[in-house]
Amino acid sequence: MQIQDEQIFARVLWDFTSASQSNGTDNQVKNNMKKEDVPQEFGLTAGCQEVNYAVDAEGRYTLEQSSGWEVKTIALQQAWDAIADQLYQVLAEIEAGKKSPLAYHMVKNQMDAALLSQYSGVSRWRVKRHLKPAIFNKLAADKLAPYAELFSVNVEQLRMVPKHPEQMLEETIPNRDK
Amino acid sequence: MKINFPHRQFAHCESGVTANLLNYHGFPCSEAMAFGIGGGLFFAYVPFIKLNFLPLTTFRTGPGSIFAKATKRLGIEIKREKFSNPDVAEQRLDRLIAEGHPVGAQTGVFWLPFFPPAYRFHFNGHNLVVIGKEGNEYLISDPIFEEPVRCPVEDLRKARFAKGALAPKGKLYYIANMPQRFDLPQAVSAGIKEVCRGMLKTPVPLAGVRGIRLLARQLVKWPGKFDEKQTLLYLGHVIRMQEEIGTGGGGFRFIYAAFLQEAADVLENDKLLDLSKHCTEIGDLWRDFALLASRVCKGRAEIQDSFHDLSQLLLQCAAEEKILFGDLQRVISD
Repeated sequence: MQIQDEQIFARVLWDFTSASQSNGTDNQVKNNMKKEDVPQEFGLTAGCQEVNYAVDAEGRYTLEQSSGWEVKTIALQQAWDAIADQLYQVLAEIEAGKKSPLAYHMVKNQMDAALLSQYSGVSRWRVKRHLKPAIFNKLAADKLAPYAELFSVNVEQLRMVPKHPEQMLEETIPNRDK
Repeated sequence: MKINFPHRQFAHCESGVTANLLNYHGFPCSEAMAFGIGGGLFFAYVPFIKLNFLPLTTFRTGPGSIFAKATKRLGIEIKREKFSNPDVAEQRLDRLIAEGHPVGAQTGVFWLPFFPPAYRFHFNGHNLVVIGKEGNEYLISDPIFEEPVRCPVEDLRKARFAKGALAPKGKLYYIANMPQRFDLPQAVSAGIKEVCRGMLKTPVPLAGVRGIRLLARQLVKWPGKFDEKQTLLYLGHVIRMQEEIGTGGGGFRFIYAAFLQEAADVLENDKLLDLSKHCTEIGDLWRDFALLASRVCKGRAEIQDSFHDLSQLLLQCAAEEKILFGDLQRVISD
């Protein structure tokens, strides 16, 4: 993953968190959730603000908007990285002739055979058969129609997979080192 | 057709929907109050039920229960409907809006186009209020967002009939009748008692304070049991359940602390203010846990030692919550 343009605010915030950890008692937040402590860090929220609960100067709870908290962003990014890993794996298996292109579209839509069966109305054992390349390649267009409709693609697109996994998220964490 | 529905942004979908619906029907209500009366706070760790291949971890009661219990405790008459046929479900929704009812709906997040892409997982417990229809779009008050949003008819239909765990089956709900008088203190006490029971007196060791201890015991074994990738996925999942899914921070503990402040006024009992402070401190502890956990996920902390520390933090959360809910139970039954 290429390193994004350095974004100063992310760096400053990160330095701040690291500093508070080195001189505080290891890793403690301990702020009684004051209004000014509501994290305003990078979030994978496409610009949406979310609401956090925090205490004002008089000790009363108020609603405070937050742009994101690095802790949450790390956990969320991790979940998407796991999906990306699965996509790489399934493309390799398709390449090796072990799985049909349907498997790629299934993983891309975060489904397994059971969920795909529920959504498409195709019975589970049929879905499993359709995940095998030898059987998938012989399927007529009408047998693929339920999947195509579900994934909002046409049957031709369903028969194809990209060389590399499509990027699932447009947003990426600034300064992402990987 | 658009209902004049005052939209307010909140942290959590179901308590936000409940508060906004109550407000529309002339009962001014904060999100924290709806959450508290509805007895929303909880904890459960159920390792043998998997969501997306990861163990079920929740900081709140089951979907639908906040609205159902909050309205019941306030003596409000509600209607709930489920459907097997999407066409019928859509016609019913359209009719209700045309009659002027803002309608709550349970939906699957994966199909909602107005959600930030990074949040679109197969999670079927998301609640929103449909407040109108214009052409081929529904107008929606989703309390997670700053402003009302629009959603194509086709997408809402998919979202209402999302499949898998917690499948909504087109579920709709709305307020049919408001009572003349409310017994707010009674409703608040009932909500608090339920949460105390859930946290302290569960018959199974998976829920409440015992559930937190179970997670502490199991978590420390993860690095020995799974490979590193799986271990970190398990840990990241706990962070997400705690902080991500519209919790208002600290696994709903801050919302609950806000509720206890309001409850102190309603019940005219200043002891609840002290308990609110304690609840805030517990929320901070959970945030400590998430902070350290995220450092482990990022590879910035050593795994073996960190898992021991994480487990200790959870045991501390469990111990503090046992004290808090014990105190709360005593204050309420006095």
